[in-house]
Amino acid sequence: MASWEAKTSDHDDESGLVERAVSGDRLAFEKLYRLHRNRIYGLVWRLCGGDGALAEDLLQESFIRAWQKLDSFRGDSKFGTWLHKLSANVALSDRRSRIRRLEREVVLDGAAERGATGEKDVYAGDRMDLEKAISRLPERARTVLVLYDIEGYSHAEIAEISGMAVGSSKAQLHRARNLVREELDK
Amino acid sequence: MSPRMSEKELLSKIAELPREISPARDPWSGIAAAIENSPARAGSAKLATNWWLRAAAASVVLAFTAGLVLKSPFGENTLSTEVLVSSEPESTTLETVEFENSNMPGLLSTVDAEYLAAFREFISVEDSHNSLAPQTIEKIELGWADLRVTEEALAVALEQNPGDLFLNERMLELRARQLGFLKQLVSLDRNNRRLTI
Repeated sequence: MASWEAKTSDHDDESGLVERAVSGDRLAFEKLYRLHRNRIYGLVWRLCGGDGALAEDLLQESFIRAWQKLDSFRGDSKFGTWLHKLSANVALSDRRSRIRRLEREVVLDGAAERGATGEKDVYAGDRMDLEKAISRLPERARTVLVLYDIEGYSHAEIAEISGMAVGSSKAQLHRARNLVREELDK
Repeated sequence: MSPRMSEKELLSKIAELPREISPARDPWSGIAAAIENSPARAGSAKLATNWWLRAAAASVVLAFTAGLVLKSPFGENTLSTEVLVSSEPESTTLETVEFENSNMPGLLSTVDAEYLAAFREFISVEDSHNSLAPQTIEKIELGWADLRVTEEALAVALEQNPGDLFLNERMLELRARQLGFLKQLVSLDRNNRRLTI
């Protein structure tokens, strides 16, 4: 019994799930999805400026891309790290996402739209103003702030994902922090 | 006017933000439907990854074989080899490059390095082959087995006789054509990516 339990536990750990998913096991892939869904959703939701419907699409697209690219996961990093970067790429390269972000820079009345997206828990209490301020940032500034300050990426990694120079990433972070502070002061 | 909130305060607030957020709708059904429609992709991943290499190799097999048959091992003092220089997929132009025989092994290693650099660059871009017809892929793959045999035999022969003019000449031709083909594939890949963005 003990050995069976140990075996089951090994099978259910992430690397085992990844291995099974790579060999085409959809059930294992669904378990990976359940493990990482909320983390990835949090990332793409913020990157697309708090648009819930778009973030759900991006979440779906990220996992479809992950399934298609599982063979390129070499195990050099954790699966979650690999998936996270892939999802950031999906969100930043998505055309709709870019258009929506640009639109949101002009139309800043996002409160009504967000009210319909279902992330009420995110906007509860003190976090509301901060999330709102982040979602109102210009696209590049928000990208850098989300990836650097919230997700812990380095400027070099942000440069790689977003295509901007390391210096630009640093400048955008400075700008983003100032803009958020100004917004919170209002 | 500088903000009243300090940067430290801001970072402290940001650190409290949740990294995980639940979506209002679970999109798993859409994901499941999509991956159901591409059942073989993950399982045959290695094959999909390798076919570009096969494609590159297949492009040289006929010319290379012809070269083995037609070229004399004891020929001229210079080698003329045709190099694919166009980056446009549809319009391939040929350019003749002259190499001095005296420095053939060194030249070969330089060409090898260039080929490998181009191949590495190509590996970093992915997925443009999605749009190719299966029969096209099949055609490309058909030449692979023959090419591998030829390429491996040549590599072994060169290892034993690195200064052999004829062998160097053939390998140079092989690499030049591989390099040209890879450049076209990279260009094709970039064009496809532009179209999909």
